[in-house]
Amino acid sequence: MKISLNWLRDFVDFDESPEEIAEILTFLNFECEGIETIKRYVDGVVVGKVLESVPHPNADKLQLTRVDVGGEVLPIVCGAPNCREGLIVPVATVGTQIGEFTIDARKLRGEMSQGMILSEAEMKISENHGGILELGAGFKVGDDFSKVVPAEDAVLEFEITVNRPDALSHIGIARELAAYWGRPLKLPSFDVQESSSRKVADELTIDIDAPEQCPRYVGRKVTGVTVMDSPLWMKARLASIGQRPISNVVDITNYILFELGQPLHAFDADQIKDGHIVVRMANEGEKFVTLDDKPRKLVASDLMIADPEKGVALGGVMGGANSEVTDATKDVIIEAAYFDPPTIRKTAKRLGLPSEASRRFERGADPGMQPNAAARCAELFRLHAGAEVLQGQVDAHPAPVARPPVSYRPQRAGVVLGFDVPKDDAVKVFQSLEFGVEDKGETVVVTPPSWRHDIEREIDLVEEVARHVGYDKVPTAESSRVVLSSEDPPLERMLDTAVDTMVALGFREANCSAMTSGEDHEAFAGGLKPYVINRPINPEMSVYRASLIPGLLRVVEHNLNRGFEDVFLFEAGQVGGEGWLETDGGQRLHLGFAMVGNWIPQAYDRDGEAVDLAEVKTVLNELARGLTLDLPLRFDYTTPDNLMLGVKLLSEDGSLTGVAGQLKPELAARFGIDRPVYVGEIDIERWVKPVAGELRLPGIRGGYQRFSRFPANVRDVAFVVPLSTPAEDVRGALLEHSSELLEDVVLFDLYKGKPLASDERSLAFRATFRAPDRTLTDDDIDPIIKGMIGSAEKLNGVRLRG
Amino acid sequence: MKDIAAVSSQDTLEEVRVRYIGRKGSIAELFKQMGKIDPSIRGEFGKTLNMLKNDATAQIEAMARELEQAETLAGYDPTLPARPIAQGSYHPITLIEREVKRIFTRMGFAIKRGPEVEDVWHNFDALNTPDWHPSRDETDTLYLADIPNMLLRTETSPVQIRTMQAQKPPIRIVAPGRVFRNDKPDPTHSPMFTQLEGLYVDKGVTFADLKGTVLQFYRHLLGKNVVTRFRPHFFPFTEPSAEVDVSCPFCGGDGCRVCKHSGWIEVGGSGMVDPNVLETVGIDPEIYTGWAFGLGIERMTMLLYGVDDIRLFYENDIRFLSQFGGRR
Repeated sequence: MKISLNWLRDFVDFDESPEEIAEILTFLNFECEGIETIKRYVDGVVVGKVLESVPHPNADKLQLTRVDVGGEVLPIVCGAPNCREGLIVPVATVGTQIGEFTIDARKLRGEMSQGMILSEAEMKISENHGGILELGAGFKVGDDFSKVVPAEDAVLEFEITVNRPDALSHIGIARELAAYWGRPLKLPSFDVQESSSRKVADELTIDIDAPEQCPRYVGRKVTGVTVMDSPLWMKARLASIGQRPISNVVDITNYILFELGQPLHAFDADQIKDGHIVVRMANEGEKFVTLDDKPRKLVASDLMIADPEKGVALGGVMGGANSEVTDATKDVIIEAAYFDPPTIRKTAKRLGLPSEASRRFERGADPGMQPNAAARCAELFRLHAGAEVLQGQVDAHPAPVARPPVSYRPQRAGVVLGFDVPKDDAVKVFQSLEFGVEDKGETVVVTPPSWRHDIEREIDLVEEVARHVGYDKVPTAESSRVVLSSEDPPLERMLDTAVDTMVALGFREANCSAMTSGEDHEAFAGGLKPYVINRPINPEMSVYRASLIPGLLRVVEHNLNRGFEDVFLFEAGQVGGEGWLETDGGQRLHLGFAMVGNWIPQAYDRDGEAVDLAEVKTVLNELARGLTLDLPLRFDYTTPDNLMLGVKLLSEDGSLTGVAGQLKPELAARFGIDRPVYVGEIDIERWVKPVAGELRLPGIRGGYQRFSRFPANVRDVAFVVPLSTPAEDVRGALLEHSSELLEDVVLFDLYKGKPLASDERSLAFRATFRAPDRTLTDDDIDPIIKGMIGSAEKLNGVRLRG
Repeated sequence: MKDIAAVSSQDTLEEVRVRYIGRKGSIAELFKQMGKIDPSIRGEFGKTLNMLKNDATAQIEAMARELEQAETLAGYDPTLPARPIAQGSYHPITLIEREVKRIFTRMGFAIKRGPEVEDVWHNFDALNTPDWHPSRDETDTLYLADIPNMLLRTETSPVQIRTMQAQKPPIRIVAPGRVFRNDKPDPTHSPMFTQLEGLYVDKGVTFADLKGTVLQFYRHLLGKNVVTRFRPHFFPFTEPSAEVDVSCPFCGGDGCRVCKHSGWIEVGGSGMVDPNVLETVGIDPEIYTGWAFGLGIERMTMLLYGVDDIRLFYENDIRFLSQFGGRR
């Protein structure tokens, strides 16, 4: 909302600078978003009369004039096509600044010129460049032009929050300032000289068939309208706030809208059958041509302003082409109505027709303003459109809008704000804002004025008090209690630990879009009914992600394309899908990672080592260790979907909680990745199974284990194992023949090649033995080892390697 | 002994060793003379000879070690660079989110989380958002296609509602998380970003508490000299509502490029929880009051690190991510 300070001065006196006004209003809820200074000219523009205008001897398009500027006659060269003898014009004299340009005495094509005759555009009154401004009669030669149009204006643009439509006008802003300063608010005159002897009541009937949608409709009528330019001061003010002046009829209604906040509509009275206005709901499918000449198809919730035969305006949204005021219009019916906000909102939104008028109606106009606005409009038509005003008005007011009184307890401000506002101070605020106040001792009963539809509850009054007393008066507390009962979600710390672990493992944390394409969803969570986004921003964002992998793969591709070769990324975040609604409330928390290239990077004296499945398992192991989960991890070794090779991670209860492994090359290729890429994704909540309030120590689970201080005995044992027999089975067999003394069995060497057959390999295990109370001897260990070997050799094709 | 000191290589040291303590070396020769020595001093002679042998052996061994070390060092260039290892890094959003979390945790706030896919009731209705409020429009909010009244949450405020439904006052929480808007990505807009909201509901909670807590939070985050100011505003779920500005931590409020020469930076919204919101979740606004506030993690991260394009956070270019590798 733009506010012209010149205009604002009509309603409240002030000497404060534009910057001070901006600051004051910003701290009253109206944030100033910009200050623009409009310099039309700097001093020295006077009213002049062209005494003589003859063609320039040396230029076709120029005129030599002599202009009387009051006590002096100046020679001026003028290029305007409308320059002629007898015109009354604004003249910039030598030394006057117009925009960036300072008028000086100079010769133009050999002829002296001591000034410049100005156009409207040159003074930023309108965009009319067509010629010099013809002031006409009523201006005195020699007068300072600033009495007509001030040399300067300052325009402040404010953000008006949706709860304060009353501030969408100069009066509304002036009212806040007047209240703040304690200065009087000067309303414009609503007196109207009803110069015609005819009576509105004889010529205009208003029937409201839809009182809920149109609680009030005020009509006035003027006759003998001449459509022409608006007065300069009005044009200048409209131009200041960015409104293009059009004609007096349009400008006057517009002017009142920005002055009082009341939208008006002017009908050509001859087009309203029988002078009978009917306010009714549109018929479903009713056709109507709005004044932008577009045919519209209406629905039953649209409000129609009609005459007995036809619709003439779409109430509160746009007038009709059939009743528009034209150059031929003589009589005008002025509409000043109050419309129900949701009705207007619905129509304006459906038709995509937001306007300054609908914006005010849909947020709530002042239901008390209609008679005054109509009167002011009629008077301006009389003054500036040569009209006669008919006697009286028609005020159809079937459903007065109530503003119920609100009780205010003075101590309530203290409860909410944290400091006591004396009752008298609060009352002063209410009175300055023109609220009705009735002091009942314990409470103050406040009746909001018609324009303040936002005042419905006591808290609304507390806010008014806080706003006008000033938020800076509210103390800043220096201490605050701590709530002892609140606890973090059980997973919060575990999730931070998981992130810390991944970072420590050399992964970079990514933050990918939670919206993905349908194809990505199909590829990585096919089978799960997705959360599909209605009207997505683009097709790449049409589904809420159910997997972190596609996002990570896009980041991998991005970085590979930028020359990085070792790319290790992870993300922890929410995923979801409709298919999980029953089981998980639709959402899960996943941790995903992607690995490409060398985990141990190549160096100047060392080759890098390409990552493989064993290292993917390292990541899972280290994550589990970081999260103090039980090791060893449990896997299902059937290859997961989408993976060329990989494992399924099982939780302690055996349910699937994650997958990891090498992505199928054709799937990698779909993401533009041309080399082996390893990925993993874990349902971390299911894996960790956090329990609220459960003791969960960091570091290790279940506490410290006493360890033996006696030395370990180590035995290495190698087997020839067919490729078809998993290493884990051999290790399992070794462990199966377990003993209290066996501490661990670790695969420490793997060999393929001669002299072994091509379908065999050698697996060497290192077994560690230790006793809690003594140093072990070969006699202790030999029988155990023998048993272990026997156990392993029971596996198909496994034999001790000699 | 001079011969030992004079050797310069393993080979010559070996020669010296053979010459003196070898089986045919000069000390061995002397031992052979033992029989010819006067028996009265033979014991003494033998002792001395042993000492000589031990001493020589020790010196030769020491020399051998020295030579070996010198050889190793000769091949060593201490200016060779460190070998690289895989470098992990935190996403900058995580870094600032954790920083914010840490400050609030210290001030006695619990962390709460909620679903990113929310229902209309938690996201709008319970937060006192009028039916007609523009934020409900599809032009602002992303709704699900197949399930009515479900959406991608537009703020983390639904977590406040969920917490107040689940727990009686006193409540003192912060809720970080992702939120979504129907915005086309550009340098300052993203359809997805991270918010953090705080809520404090108890008997006797006031606007003064809000001002105090917010001020202290920003002092912890931005330095002890910053000041805050509260400007009236309108939000459906709070009343009175305020926008929070913080004095520019870069210029101390004198005006610079970061604060657009105003000396102030707008950092978030806040206000006293609207009584309608409390009533909706079954908390009596006559007994309890509360405040809420929110801030944008991306915005704060951009401000603090000087990141000038929000899209960098989601592009995840390693040249960007790798700059945030420092640990704390």
